Amino acid sequence: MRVATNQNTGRRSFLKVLGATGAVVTAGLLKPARSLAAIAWPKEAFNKEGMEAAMKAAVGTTDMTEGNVSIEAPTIAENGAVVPITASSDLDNVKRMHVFVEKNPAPYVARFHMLGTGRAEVATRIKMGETSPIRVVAETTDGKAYMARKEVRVTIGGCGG
Amino acid sequence: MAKTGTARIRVGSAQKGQPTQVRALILHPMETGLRKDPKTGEKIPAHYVQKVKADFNGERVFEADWSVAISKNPYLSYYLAPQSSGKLKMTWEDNQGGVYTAEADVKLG
Repeated sequence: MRVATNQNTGRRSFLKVLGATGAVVTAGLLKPARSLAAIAWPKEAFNKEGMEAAMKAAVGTTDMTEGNVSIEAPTIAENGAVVPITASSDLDNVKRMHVFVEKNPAPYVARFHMLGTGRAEVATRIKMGETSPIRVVAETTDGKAYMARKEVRVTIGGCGG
Repeated sequence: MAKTGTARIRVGSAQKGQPTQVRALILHPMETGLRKDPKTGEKIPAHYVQKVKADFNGERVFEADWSVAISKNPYLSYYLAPQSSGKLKMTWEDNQGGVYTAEADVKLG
């Protein structure tokens, strides 16, 4: 809860700054944007219904070890449209982290690629249609998958609403 | 009212090789495509950010793939372990072809 509160405060002051200054654009200081090929967006996995099918499409397996991954999220979320979540792992060879909401119509929410971050930790805000476990999977460079699960109670659903 | 795609990046104080937190925010509706306009009853087309990319001094350090289940005006934080001072450039791409960028200076302390 403490983290969530801090983030909310940070976001509010952040929004103020946004309104005041707009985007920081420093044209001319950089060379023309280098075209770096992006990783393909996983359309099929995002469309999958049902947790098992989504996980299989996203990670390639449902065989994973529990542990080495943590999820920070509120136990009770008043508004399912905005649920703050922090996903992290204490492993030093995480290449990718996946976020799922088991009871969302399409459970696969997002994935994050750690290409040169130095730490496997990401935070964002997600939509939850109803009370559901959140699942985070961390994939390591040696081809293993680790998992954590946390139940979040939603009082007002946030999908399509 | 601020415009879709207005973005802002904040980078924590950086030490050489040490992970420092990057926080980024972009104004975006993140429409799922399932919502109906309360006045007309018509479906509002899906409009959401699918891809986020972060380049530090021209090198890709982080990428994210998003579904419609990321909240409106998406917030994102991740880490960066800079070996030198430099420029962090972020790009957000949505499903309607919108491409938005923002930059931040990273200075080693």
